[in-house]
Amino acid sequence: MLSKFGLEDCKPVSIPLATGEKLKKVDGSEMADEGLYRKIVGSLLYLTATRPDLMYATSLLSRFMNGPTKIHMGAAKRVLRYVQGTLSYDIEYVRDQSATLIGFYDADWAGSEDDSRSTSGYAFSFGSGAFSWASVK
Amino acid sequence: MCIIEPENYQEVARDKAWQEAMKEELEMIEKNNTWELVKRSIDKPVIGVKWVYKTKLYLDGTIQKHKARLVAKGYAQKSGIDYNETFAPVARLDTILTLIALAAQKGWKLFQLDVKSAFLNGVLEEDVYVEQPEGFEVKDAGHKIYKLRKALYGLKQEPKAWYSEIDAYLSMCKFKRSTSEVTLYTRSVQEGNLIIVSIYVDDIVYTGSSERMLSEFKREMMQRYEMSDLGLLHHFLGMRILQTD
Repeated sequence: MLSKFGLEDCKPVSIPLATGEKLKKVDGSEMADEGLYRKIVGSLLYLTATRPDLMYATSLLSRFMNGPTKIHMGAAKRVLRYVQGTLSYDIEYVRDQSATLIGFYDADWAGSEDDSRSTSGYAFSFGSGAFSWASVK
Repeated sequence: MCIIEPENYQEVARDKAWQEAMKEELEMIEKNNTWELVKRSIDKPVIGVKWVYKTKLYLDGTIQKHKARLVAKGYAQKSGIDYNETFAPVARLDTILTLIALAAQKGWKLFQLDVKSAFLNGVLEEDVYVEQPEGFEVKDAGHKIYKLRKALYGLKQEPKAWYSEIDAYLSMCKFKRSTSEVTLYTRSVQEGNLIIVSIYVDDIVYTGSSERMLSEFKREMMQRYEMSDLGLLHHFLGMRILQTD
């Protein structure tokens, strides 16, 4: 997947999004290649099937599928660099953990710069690997 | 290397490999009890059929198989006449992952079955007629048409027909369908013994507490449908699954 986007030798980063950076629809930067952007986000969406750690970033990026800017593209490529550093990540479900259903949920309370709506997310597990997660605006 | 796939019957009429492939497909159809020859009458709409050819390759690019598939021209079907409902439910990804997490937690193994030509097993609720396939017209009955008992590829209602079929069979085998996920079935013959089955169109993932029950379930399924036994679940929906002790 990384080689599809010419990033097979890219330098890895340790977190998918830059801290403190807020993405918004119109950010003053130039428009980017929409087709390429959509391809990257589509590939990331596929990865979210087994990678809850990419869920928030991918769902955030997918909001800018219409008219992505250079800043959005930069953020998308950064997520790919994070993927580069975490290629070996998978989910491990183990035996004999306490069979307790655990759920986590949080929301950012009107975190969107564009319309002040909230983004919420959740994850559930039986004590080991998560089996259900989402990030929804 | 580039493989050119034939577009229509004329191109393969004299090709031995493709003739074999078409025969194989028709044998499958006959074996499935898919259709019967009936007289043509003007008040019944008749749907055309068409051969579709596909060359299956090995990973190294050499030819694995010539595959001919007979498809119905479903686009000619009219709603309310030839078909009513067309959808079939599929399992949610969360359901599959939950099943995997549960199996791991209990120390159960997950297995997978694949139904060959799943859609051909679907029993039709509507009356559907198709033309005879090109090149394989029955002697002295060229004017006759086939009345379908079971679905053909390309028919609008084929996914629905297959789901209805497998749903009915699982209920007959004493499975209980989940109320919140219609593709998830459970069966518990005696206290403490449980088998869980998830249907993803033609893929079946199953797990449970007793190895004996699991092989019994596999036998029940393989008796009824043409199946490939894929053994331990290892690949599903683009995910790789590794099961260790």
